[in-house]
Amino acid sequence: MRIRSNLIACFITVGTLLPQYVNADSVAAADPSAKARMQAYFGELHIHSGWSDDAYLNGVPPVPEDAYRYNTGQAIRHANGEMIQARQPLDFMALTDHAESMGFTHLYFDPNHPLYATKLGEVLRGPNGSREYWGYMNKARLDPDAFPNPPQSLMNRTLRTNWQHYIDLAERYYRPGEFTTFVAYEWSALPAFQNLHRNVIFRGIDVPEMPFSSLDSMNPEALWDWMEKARSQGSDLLAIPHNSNLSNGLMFPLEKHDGNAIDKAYAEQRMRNEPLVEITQIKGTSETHFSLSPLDEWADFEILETLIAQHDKISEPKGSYVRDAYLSGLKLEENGNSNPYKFGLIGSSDGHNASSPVDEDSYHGKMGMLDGTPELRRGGNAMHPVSAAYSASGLAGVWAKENTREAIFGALRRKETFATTGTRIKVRFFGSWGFPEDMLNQREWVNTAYSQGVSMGSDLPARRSENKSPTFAIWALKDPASNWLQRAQIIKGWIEDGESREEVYDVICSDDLNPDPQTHRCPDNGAQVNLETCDFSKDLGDVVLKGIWTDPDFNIGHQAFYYLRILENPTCRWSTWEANRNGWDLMSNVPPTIQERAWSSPIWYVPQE
Amino acid sequence: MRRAINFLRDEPLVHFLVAGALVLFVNHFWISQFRQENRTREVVVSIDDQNRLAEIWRMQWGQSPSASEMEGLLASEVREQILYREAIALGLDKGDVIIRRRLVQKYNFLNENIANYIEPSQDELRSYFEQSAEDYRVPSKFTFSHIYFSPDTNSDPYARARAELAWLQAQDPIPVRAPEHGDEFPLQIDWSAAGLDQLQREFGKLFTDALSQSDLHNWQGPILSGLGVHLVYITARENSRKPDFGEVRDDVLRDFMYERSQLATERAYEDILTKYAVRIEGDQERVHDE
Repeated sequence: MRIRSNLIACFITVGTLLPQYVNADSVAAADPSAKARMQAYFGELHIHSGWSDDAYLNGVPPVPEDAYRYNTGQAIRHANGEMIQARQPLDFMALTDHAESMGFTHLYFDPNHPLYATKLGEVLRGPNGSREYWGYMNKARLDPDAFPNPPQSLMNRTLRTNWQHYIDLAERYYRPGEFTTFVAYEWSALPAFQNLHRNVIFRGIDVPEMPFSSLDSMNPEALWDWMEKARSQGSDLLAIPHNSNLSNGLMFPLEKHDGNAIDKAYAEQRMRNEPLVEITQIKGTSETHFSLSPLDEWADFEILETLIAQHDKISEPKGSYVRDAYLSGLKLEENGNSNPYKFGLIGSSDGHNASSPVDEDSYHGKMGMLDGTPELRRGGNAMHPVSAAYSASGLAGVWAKENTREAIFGALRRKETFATTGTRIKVRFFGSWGFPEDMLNQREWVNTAYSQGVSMGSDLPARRSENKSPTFAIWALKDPASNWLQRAQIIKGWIEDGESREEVYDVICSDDLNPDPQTHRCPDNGAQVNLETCDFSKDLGDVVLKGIWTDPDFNIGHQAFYYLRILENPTCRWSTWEANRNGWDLMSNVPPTIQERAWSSPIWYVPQE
Repeated sequence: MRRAINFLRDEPLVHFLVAGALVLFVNHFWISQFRQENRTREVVVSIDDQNRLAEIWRMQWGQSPSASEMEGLLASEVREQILYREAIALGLDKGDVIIRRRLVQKYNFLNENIANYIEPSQDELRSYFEQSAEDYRVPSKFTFSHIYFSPDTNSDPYARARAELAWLQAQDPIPVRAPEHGDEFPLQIDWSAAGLDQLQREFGKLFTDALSQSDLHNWQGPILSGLGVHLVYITARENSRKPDFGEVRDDVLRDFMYERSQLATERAYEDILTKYAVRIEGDQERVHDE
């Protein structure tokens, strides 16, 4: 033990002997020119290692450290035996193994560990072990006498030990200014296979003794209670829901867990604890569904419809998508409640190979040998028919003064964030009551934008009587290693006569094109992809899309939200890369190309009383 | 001790082995009547073994085993050794996939765990650092100004860059930066001691490859990046260098511990492999013989 604590102590000093980073975020908050100097950082807030049960049972090595190795640019071994390496290291990361099985599963196979001798250990090591494990876990909830869990004291002891290992790892890999790590875990509630999962992210290493898991409660409100208690005891933390698309309408409900209507207390508690939502990841994109947004031509993007592990059951779209939640939130507020759905956006992968497989040309699947080869991904696994619909997505973008825990957590907290499908498009989005038309041509325009307006994740400033319509500043820079940008769109949602309304405005077109004022659409820029080589048009699309946009349909009485969506020209989807590499026909059930994209957190307009 | 008893009571492998031992005992009792064999077999739990058991306990529970816990550990170790030997002698390990898999798993865990918790000596760490020094190289750093020509405009950025280069070179003295020239660049114009890794994130690899080849104190280009076309004027370059051990000691220790635990299983297996001749039957028989 002494050896070990010395080791830990020497890692910890690295993080603590850097006083210049203390309170970095409060500096940024006070001074607009400091805000203007903020940088875009790209990270991953949802990654699993072989210390998650589903990963380990699909062959992922039980080495949580691999996740840090991968995202700092080292090669690691995939369950299929091959080495995998990121195209580019990330700036920040949170390792979010399932709290319910956090580093337990491999111990059922370790004869030196007491978990080996439990009933569950016996089941797991049987000839059909990994399949029976899931059934056992479910039965253990319903009939704990016939299907005993390991003794609580043993579970707690193991969990405390493992939780400490996660804290040690986060410290060991934290390099302020270069690579930021967060202590984190996933609360994995899946009532009747309806996904309510949240990732819990801690600002520092002052964390509770053990995580709160879905074994403690399947009720998100109980999780928030626990988070608030942790906060009162000195932790700083937030939760980020994901895969709302697979929640069957439960992620963004209109009722509380007990069935009563959502009230002000619920809304405020939710917003204190869940300022962000993960809009895109491997298991699909949750922006909107074509049945909810039939007039949005881009609403069919990477939709995954079937519930987790229930591939014959469709998740109800209503209450399951981000845009719909934003609209519900406006309605709740209009009806005299407060808005529980005023969240910002990030993307992350949910990769279970201790990796973030977000590049189309080097996608290597989500979960060990469940989809660990091109053949399996193409549909070779009858147990798991949805692999082909999985996406090589996404990343979290933040605007922060520096690459430290304090600064990046601060950005998450104030929702100055954006999501991408794995590409590194940088996105800025500001709102005000009158940015100068030529503001974006000034070299110091970001200063002006911060001093005269608000950035993504905020409410528009109070409207004065002379203000007619809000104006927005839009800026997006392409990923130097990805395709050219095709168009910038603003998605507006509002409430009119009690009804939810939405509109997609193309606001900036590439290639000197202009949106049609009637249809609000850019003309086709003609960008092409060669499906055999995956080469794309080199001379179409833009490096930067920027401009000022004034809402042409503004009504001072209508609550509204505005968020930005940036589209690249089309590129090959990962399934097309794999088909070409192996000489296979293109698959007919997935599109051959995608338009990589980014979404900003919204800016809200709330009418004054 | 209770743990050991529970373990023995609940563990099917133990049931299996106990049954095997019984068979052996009966077998031995009867056969030895005829053979008149009378040799004592020894079970040794060495000091190293005892330390290992205590270390594993500490890893799991964060504290040393008490005297009674140690007694339980030793009792179960002795029992396990005896039953294991007898089972092997009976050939119970052959052909049973589950047992085989479990023995392998046990072996892996032993090696990984021990490897994880022994800190290397200074010398060991330093020699690891010397061997893998390339991994710790500090990337080259560049201080430069650039002029950007965007492909978003209607005119050819290459042609404009070439014209600008000719103009710059005709000046006396030649300016070292020209922030008002070219197109507005979406990021910075001036970069100070920027690492090649950071520049690659911002500009792409084409640009950093070209930058590495460029001369100092002279306008260079046109250079292509992921964002357009550039002319660059480099005023300082710090070449990539091998860091001092002290600068990267924490990283080295971290990597050493990681690599050793990764290698332990692999190496243990390779050690054993040398004791075996491996033959894979099939159309073309492959023979690995150490």
